Amino acid sequence: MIFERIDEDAKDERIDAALRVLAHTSPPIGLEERVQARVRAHRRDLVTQRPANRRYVGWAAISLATAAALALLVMEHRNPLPAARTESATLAVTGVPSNPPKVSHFDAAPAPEMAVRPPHAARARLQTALPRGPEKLETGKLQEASFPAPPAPLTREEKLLLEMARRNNSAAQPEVAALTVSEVVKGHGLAADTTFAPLATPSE
Amino acid sequence: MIAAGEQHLMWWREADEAGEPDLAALITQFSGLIYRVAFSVVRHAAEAEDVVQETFVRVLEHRAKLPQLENLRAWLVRIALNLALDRVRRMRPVPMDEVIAETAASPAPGVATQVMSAVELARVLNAMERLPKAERMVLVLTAFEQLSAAEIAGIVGRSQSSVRALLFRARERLKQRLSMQETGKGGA
Repeated sequence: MIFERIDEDAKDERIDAALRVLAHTSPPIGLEERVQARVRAHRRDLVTQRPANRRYVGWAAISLATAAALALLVMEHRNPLPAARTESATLAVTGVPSNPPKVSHFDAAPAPEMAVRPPHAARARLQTALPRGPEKLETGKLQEASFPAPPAPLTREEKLLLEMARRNNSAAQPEVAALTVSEVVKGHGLAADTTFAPLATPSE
Repeated sequence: MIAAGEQHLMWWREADEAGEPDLAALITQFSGLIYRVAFSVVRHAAEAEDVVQETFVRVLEHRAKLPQLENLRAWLVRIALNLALDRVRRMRPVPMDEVIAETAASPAPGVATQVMSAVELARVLNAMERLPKAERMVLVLTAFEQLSAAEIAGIVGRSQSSVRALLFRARERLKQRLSMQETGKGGA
């Protein structure tokens, strides 16, 4: 028991001695001067960096704004409106705008007319997008040929189809009121006793 | 005798009158303590000096905080301790650290080295190295007489009772490991 106690004390003494060695280490000569020099250098860096940074940020902002303005100007000059160009390409291929306005069955306005007519603004942009200079004539003709013709008034058949489509729409009744089967028959030079098969009505 | 808190206030008042914190006075006052704390963790003179320089650079960067500090010394020691621990993590393990080398080469041993040889010191320091971080920090900091129990508690971010418990556990674990080393040595 006594030996154990002595052994414990000896270990405590060894631990304390090791800690004393660590705690009483003398700092190297000139430590303070070196630390002060380092701090002074860092302070100088801080002082010189700040205005330089501000100046750099200012110049960066100005040059960025100039670059952005130039880029916009060049894009505007070379490519008036990319959206109008893609719209014209769609129109040239399909005759229908890529994103036609949605028209419900109950709309009073004539839907087919809206579907083929490009918006006024888009047409105006297309005109500005046409090539200039010597290529103007040939390309212009090609574009005119592929561009849909201006909308004509509806034929009687179209009106009849419209009426059938709007069968349940009371607002459309006056529009087709004057249209009779006999008129359609006469207008197309059909025999008076022509019979029409009833159209299948869409199930509700 | 002036308490640590009062000393700090005096230092700050002087610095405030000058318009800019007087870091030179702060360095003169605390660089020795910070060096010893750093050295007790990294056990390498050049690395410990780097830690001291880095600590005062941090002080310069956060000098706006200084007037609000309750205990400047504890704050400085905490910065130094964290920086030293970061360095230890990055450092490659050295086969023989400078404490042991100095002890072994010392022609006139001091009080501490009279009771233990370089080999014994190496054994204790290696056992200390393997202690859990919190226990090791508390054990190392108690060796500095300038630091009160309350300051140590503030540095490690624990209560004083928790610091006492950590210290007790650290010493017990260390003694246990030293016993195991001796038993291993005896058996070999």
